[in-house]
Amino acid sequence: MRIIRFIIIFQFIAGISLSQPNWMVDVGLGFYEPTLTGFEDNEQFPLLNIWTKNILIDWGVSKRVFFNTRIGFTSKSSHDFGKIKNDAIFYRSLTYRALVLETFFIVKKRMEWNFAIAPIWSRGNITLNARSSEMQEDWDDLLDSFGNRKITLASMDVMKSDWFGFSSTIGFRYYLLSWLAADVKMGYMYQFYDEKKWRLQGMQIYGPEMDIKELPVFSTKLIFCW
Amino acid sequence: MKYIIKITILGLIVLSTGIFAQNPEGKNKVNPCDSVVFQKAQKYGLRSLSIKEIPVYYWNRYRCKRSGHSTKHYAYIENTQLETDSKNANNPKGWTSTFIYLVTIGIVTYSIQQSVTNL
Repeated sequence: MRIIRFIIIFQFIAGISLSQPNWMVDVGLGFYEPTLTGFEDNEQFPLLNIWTKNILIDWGVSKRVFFNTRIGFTSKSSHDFGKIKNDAIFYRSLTYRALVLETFFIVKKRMEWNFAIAPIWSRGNITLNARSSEMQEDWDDLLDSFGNRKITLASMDVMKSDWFGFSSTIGFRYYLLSWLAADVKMGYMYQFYDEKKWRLQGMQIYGPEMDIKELPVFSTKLIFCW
Repeated sequence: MKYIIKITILGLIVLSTGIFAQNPEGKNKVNPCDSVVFQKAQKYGLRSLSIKEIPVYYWNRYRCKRSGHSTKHYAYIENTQLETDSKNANNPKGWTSTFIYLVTIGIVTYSIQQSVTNL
């Protein structure tokens, strides 16, 4: 039974990777307007700007599987880093990963309309590089015993959360060359985010409040296809 | 970030195998305007080229242009490919039309709902 399962999976993967190539890789920028209350109304964090709040770095891979259907994976992410109030360094990312099912039709040579639905699996990360006084003292004692000078140490940990959602977009693509296209998409993301479901070292904790339930999203991309 | 760097390096290695691969037409100098890869693209279209052949094809095109030859036939292949792509997908086929209606209705409903909420 295992062998049959292995053969089926192997054939599927080999089929996708060795069949007639119709792959597309895309990179671009997205734009959305979330309400990140947990960061905006929090004195610990620096002020958000357009790059840390509204801009999404967008990349993805897709493959044509039917006459006018593609399936693919895309990832949109928002990043922020800096120092919080007590000088510890933080890094925050919100990543919206989607499995995209897209249909398209080419209305005129080079011009394509595309329509997509995508289930989303999102992840929020907050990394903090903080100093702990107790840990510092212990290390100071140990290092001192070997004749070392004092070294300032920091410990790093990540709090994270995952949530699901879905997205739907309509896009217009223009093929500049047979292997290069520009794409503009608009649509929305619907997400089931819960600030009570963050994790840190295996414990469930409260995270930042964010209103990202229903968000309009725009994106522009460059697409490399072969 | 680490993964992106790894994927980029892997991608460059895969592409470089195509560019620096042994010349399939032997050690003799090949006319870049009439290579095997070019003939394949001319006969079966650009989409018939494998990921390894694509960089070779564009490298040959560059060499052809540099050697002072006309690249009109390359442009013709490009144009034919775009026309073929257009013909193959100029209409929604099968269930895809239903899918398009669903997506459009979803987005229109969402936009109306948002407009009403913002009023």
